[in-house]
Amino acid sequence: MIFHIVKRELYDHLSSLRFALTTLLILILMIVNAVTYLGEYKQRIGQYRKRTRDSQDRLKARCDSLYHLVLRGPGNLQKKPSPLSFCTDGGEKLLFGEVEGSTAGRTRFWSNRDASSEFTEIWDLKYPPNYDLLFISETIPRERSIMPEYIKIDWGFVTAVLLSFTGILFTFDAISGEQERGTLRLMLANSISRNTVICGKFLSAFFTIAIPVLIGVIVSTSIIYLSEAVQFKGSHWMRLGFIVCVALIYTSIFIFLGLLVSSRVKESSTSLAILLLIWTVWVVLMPSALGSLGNRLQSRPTPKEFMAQVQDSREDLQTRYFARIKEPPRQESPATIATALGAEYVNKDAELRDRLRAGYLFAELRQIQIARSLTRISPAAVVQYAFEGLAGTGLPRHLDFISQTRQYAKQFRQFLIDTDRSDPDSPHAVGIPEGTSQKPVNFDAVPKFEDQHRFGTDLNAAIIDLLLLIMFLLVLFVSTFLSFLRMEIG
Amino acid sequence: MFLVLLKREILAHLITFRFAVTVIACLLLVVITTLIRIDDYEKRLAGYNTARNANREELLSTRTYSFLMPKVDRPPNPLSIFNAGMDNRLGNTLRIYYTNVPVLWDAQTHSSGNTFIDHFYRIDLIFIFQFVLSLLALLFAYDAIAGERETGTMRLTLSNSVRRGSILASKYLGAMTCLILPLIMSFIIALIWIVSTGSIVFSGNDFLRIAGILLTSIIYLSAIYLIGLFFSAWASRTATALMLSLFVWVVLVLVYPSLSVSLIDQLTSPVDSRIFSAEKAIRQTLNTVTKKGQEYLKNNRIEDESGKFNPEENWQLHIGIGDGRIAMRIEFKAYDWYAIHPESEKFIPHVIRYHQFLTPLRFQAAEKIGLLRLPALEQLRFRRARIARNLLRLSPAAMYNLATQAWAGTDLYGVEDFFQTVRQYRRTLVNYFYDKDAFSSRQWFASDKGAIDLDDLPRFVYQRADLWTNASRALPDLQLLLLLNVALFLLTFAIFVRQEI
Repeated sequence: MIFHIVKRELYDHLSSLRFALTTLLILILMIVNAVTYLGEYKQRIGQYRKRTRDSQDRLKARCDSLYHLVLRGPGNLQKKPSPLSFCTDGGEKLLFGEVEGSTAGRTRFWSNRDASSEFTEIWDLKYPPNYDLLFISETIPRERSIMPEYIKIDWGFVTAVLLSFTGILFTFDAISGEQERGTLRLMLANSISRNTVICGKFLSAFFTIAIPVLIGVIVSTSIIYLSEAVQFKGSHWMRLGFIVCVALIYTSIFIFLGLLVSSRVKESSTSLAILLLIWTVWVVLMPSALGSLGNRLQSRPTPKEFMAQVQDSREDLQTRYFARIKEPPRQESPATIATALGAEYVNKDAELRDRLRAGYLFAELRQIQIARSLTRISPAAVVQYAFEGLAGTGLPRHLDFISQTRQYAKQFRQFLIDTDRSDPDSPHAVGIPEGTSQKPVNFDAVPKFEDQHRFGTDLNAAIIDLLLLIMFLLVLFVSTFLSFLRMEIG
Repeated sequence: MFLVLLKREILAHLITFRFAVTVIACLLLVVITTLIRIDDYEKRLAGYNTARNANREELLSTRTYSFLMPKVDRPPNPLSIFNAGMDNRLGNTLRIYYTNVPVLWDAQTHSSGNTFIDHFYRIDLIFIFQFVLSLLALLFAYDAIAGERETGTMRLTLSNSVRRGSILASKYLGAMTCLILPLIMSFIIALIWIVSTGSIVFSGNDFLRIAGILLTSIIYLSAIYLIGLFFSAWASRTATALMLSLFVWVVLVLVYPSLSVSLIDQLTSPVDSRIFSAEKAIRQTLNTVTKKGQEYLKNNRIEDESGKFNPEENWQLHIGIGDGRIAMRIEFKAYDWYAIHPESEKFIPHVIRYHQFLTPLRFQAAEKIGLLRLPALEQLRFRRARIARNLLRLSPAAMYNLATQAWAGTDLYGVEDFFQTVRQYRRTLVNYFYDKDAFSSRQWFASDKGAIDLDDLPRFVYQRADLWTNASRALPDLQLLLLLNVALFLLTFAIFVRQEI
């Protein structure tokens, strides 16, 4: 019986104007997205390769002496663009594509009555790049575009905004309309259970929307696949599969919402008014409006306070060490106490800067995480975050990239110490020229950074959003069923 | 008869559920949005005040003329509560050097906010009307004619001696009254809220600007309503009219504005050949000046015991910040020789002559580069922005957004006004240098005889463009919206008059 109901409804839907319009719109948007993505991805990956190459060349040039590497570090570390960025862009333009591992080369003077010396800062990781601790309050490095603001049209937009809208369009009159016409009473006069009716309504609406979605997905992925500009691996297909599933789950939420409201009210026009209101608030407004509240809930040091903190801690460290250094460091092996202390100071200072910077960054990110958690009241935001996680773009990916660079920095430091240890002539006080090996380093042995897209990590970031979506779905599913079962049909 | 019809329409709308929904939704959203925007504005204002005070202190501690490089700040626009526009997106703090004619891209942002907060799309009051109220306007329209035709009341009405024109006019006016009601209520509530905070002071002209925004909102809503009415007259069934108008709404309001701008952004290149020729000319000017300076030093060599005395030594401050390609400019050099050894005193006349020779040259070169750089950057960025804006004019929602931005003064031109003022201020600053004979004075580079006196330094004052400028910037979009209204009304009328009921 359910089969008959689904079939009847499906025929109705497929021959309707709304189906034609939806299919047309989704298809056009998906194709435009695929085509613009191809150009953009080519440019992005080209830029990534070029920058990586340049950065490696500069690293190679620094290999002429180990001290150079110790001083100037690994150079810029690049974030690899995700080939799935056509699913959702995740605001990549607003995030920084690289982390800078370099030194500003500032020196600190040490002197006592009869001697003086200077200690040069060694490298640390800077994110965002060019973000100098001394000028943090003055500038925000940011691309300043004067183009009118726009929302990127990608799968994320099509899903979050259009599919939810379509879900409502197909269901707002599903029950109230039949009740108005009296056909619902007729149908229930037969030996059809209400469960069957509601299941049939849901399934038919679901298939009707799934058809244009799947067509759009297939067309746009084939455009991208056939252009051969992008190489997809097995894991990419898996991610795409997940993304389509998430999109369909999200659409189901709104189908159930439509059925719920439609079964609660008498007239279709009222049902539509209520649904459109819920939709504008829940889908369009909430993700943006709630985000602005994140700043209020969690405070963070102002740039000025932060700068003062940086300056104080560094002065403090300097005073402590410089008081203990009694003579200038000398180039002799084994290292003198002054050399060892100097090297220790330079390293501790780099460590301190790194720790403070990371602390500031994470304080900023915590605000954003809170803002994101708030917006999760809206399934439109949830689906966007799930997409970001699965496609490997946006904030979770950025965090993973930063943690990878931090790991790499550790590895790089260890490499420097190990290399210095293997040089018998070095005084083994890595950090200052007097205490570090000056021999050239084999470039091939230097660890290189390569940004990895790890499916496990990405999925981890998305899992909470997936669960939330399923929860939304279950809540609406149960309430729709209960509402329809208890509905009085007049 | 017309009045009877109009009264009927208004009453019919007022008792509907959708009217209640519209009013409640509008007021609720407006209150929340106003709250968020006021908070944002106050934060930005606090950031501006801190920055301004710091800059003044820094300026007062200047000891030599060459170090005179005042920093100016753009105050946040209080009307950004209505339409945020570009007010917060573009740079708001800028240092003025005598060696550089400043443009928009030299400006930076004082970082009062979170670096990542841009991830959340900012909403403002116009956003609510543009999206929510327009959608509800369609709900008022889709069954206006088609619905009456289906229920048969249209036939009944026409059986009286009523002209079709007055039926259409009464429908339009009736629905518009019911739409304008929540709109005006929203404006009043927002204004009460804003004024009662006390931190935001509107001038008389600001209220006129807000009136302009209100007028534009009414015209926009009317255009969207007429789209719905058009489909209602055209389609044979209510359901069809509803689907078509919702579909058109999705395309015009949601999809098209983003799609057109993103296509322009991705498909057009910001670089073209004219940029390269400008670059070449700039580089040439730069080289000439550098060469002249070197030549002067070579021809007027001063020998002393320790070797060559170089007036450029010590206390150089190299500042090079810029945006991408057209970042080349005259190197800015500032000197503060705060203590001069008595033995070096004999060199001072030479140093004065050197600066007297070179500084005016560098200043002139900076002017010349400014003349090359400004049009090149305009070419580079403004052209694309203009194309995007023109393309946007196919969507009434985008037109509405642009027009209200212009009224509020938060559009691109409104922000550019600030930089215009900065360029003027720089000119007065240079005149001040000439008046003081600063280039050829000892205090250009040395403060050993005391710091310069800054009492009569001209102050930077920025005022937003006057009301008429705002109005004339909003006018093109306003006219287009009006035109759209008239066209849609005539079209609907033509269809409705010829229709068989």
